[in-house]
Amino acid sequence: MQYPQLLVYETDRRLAGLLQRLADKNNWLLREPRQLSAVLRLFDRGGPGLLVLHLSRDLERELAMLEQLSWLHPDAAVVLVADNEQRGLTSLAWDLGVRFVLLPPHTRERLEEIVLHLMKQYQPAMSTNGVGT
Amino acid sequence: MIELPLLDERRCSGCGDCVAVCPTDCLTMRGIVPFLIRPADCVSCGLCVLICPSAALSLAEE
Amino acid sequence: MNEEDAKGAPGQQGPDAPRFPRRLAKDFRWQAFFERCAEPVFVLDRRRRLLFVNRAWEMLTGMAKDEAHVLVCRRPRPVSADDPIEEILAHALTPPSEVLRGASGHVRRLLPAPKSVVGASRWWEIEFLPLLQEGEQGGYLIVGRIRPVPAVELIRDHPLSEKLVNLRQRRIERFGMDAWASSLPAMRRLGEQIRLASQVTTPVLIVGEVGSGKQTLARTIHYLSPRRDGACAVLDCQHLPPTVISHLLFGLDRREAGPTGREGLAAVYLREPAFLPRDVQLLLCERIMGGRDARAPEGATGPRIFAGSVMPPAQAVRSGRLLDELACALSALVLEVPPLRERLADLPSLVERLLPRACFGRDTRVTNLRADAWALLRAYSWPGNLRELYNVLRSACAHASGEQICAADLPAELCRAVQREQMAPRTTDKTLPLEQLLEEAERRLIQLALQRARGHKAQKAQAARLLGIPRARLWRRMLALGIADPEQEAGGPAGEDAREE
Repeated sequence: MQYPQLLVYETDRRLAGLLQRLADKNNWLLREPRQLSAVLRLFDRGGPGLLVLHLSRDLERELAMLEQLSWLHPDAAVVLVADNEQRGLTSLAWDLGVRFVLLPPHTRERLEEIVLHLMKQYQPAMSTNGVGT
Repeated sequence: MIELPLLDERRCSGCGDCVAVCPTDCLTMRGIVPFLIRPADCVSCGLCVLICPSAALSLAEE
Repeated sequence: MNEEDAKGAPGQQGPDAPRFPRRLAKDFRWQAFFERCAEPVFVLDRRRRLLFVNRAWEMLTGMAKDEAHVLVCRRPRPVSADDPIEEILAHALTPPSEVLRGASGHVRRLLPAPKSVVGASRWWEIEFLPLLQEGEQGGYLIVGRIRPVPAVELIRDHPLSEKLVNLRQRRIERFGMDAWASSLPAMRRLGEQIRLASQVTTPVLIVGEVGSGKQTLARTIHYLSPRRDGACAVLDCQHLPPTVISHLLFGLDRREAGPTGREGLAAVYLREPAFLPRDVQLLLCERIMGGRDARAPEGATGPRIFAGSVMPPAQAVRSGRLLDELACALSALVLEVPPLRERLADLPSLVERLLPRACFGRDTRVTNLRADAWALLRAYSWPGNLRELYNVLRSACAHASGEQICAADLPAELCRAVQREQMAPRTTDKTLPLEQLLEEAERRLIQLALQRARGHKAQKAQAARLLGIPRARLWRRMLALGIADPEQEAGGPAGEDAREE
């Protein structure tokens, strides 16, 4: 069983910081790609997982990447984190297959709850005991 | 009397190790839980029971 | 004049008895009336060729009547600013599918500004009214009316830029009916059910195995339906907090003071509703049966409900997970998706559809499969159905060296599974070949240990530790069983492997 990936794409490191503790506790591979093409590559090679994407001003390219992602990797789950000015894009986000749109407030509790639930579908063996014991 | 694996779904964590270890490939994942898709192939070796980390499997007489 | 008479039509109030026009309607010159209508009006024939346009239409489009007659409005593919004006107009005036089946239709189209014209793109709201003559040879007309939508109203309702509109269109086109084309009778029936479901608003329950395409089916139905301009959301009842789901479905959650994200939701696909807590199931049932959200403004309906389930509803009710009432409410229209192993005749067309996607991004474009690979695909039982087929093809494309996939490129588990299925037929006196079983068990355990040890600096050493055997024995058995050395494949540390025989 591979360790599931948790990808966080954002311009600062705020969301990744909020999720670090949860990722460590659950043995998820927390990755922070800095380029949109890297996101697709990571799903290509690293197996299934969850992408948390914080929508920026470059939203047209980011949403286009999400469209490709949903086409090439339908098993990958996406949580879109958006600000209030972008809430008109929620409809499009749903159509593009995101599992959830997180509008402000972007608190640790809300983020952790959503991520914890969605990551359950990728969980590997719960114990790390040796085989046969 | 043959014995086949019996699943306690409440304990199952969906890890899939039982499917991976089965020497006759008679188990498969259906959704999050394993499913005995080829019961005729089961040889009651009990590896799935042994390897399950949450003791969700047991061998029971059919 | 005719208009004067028409003004005296019954409907007018007055102290006198209602006055009727002196001349009957058949003398009324409709064409002249349309001609002078303030709104742009056009008429299409059954081949969707423009039959008539009025002066307001000419002024709106900038195209003269004589030029307009060449337009055939049968162009659902989106256009861009580079296309000629005829293509742009033909796309804008293409009637949606429900209009061709006799229902009136209402669309909103974005016209990209042609390069020659400076200014923002224009949005048009177009209403189509189909009219059918009696009798077998009945003629068929579609009357259309255009309403240009001002920018202010636009931003309130539909704030997407042109690029994003095209993006949405591209996404929607991935869910066309061609994905479900098949010669099999069960699939043909499913196709008819899809069309039916797209014309009504009842909830749809889709039953099918994991990976058989339930979500895709729901989206296909939604994007064919008249509410296609609204969003369709997939809600995973198993992997989302229940408060989130009830919030999105019913708008209930007093914690959430801010914007919700449920505006604009025209349809919702509930993945495995049996995982919802009982109170949410009850609320959902009431919503479906009651038909109207008490909080919503008059006439508004909530999102259309799709549900997908691996278990047939009766079984889910028996297991205690699904409320009986909800199962009934969702079973108004039940679509069953056949598993892939019952659709093997479709395998060639399915593979053809999936291959471009599977080899996307690779340098070599894989275009076909060799006969030995085909044989394996046909013999496999596909417990994971279409999703598994796609993953298998993706993995095979990664391994393929040329344009063709051969059997060696397919995942090893698949090959072994097929071999096992083709082994000696079952007898009542089942053999228990000890050597074979022990060998297979050993192989599986070693593979599992290697996987668990992935990420460790000395992977094989760690695996040996997990198995509780000396390293040397692990290496000998890996060689004997033909298990590939993952460290060597990845170009691992040279020192450790220097002792390898």
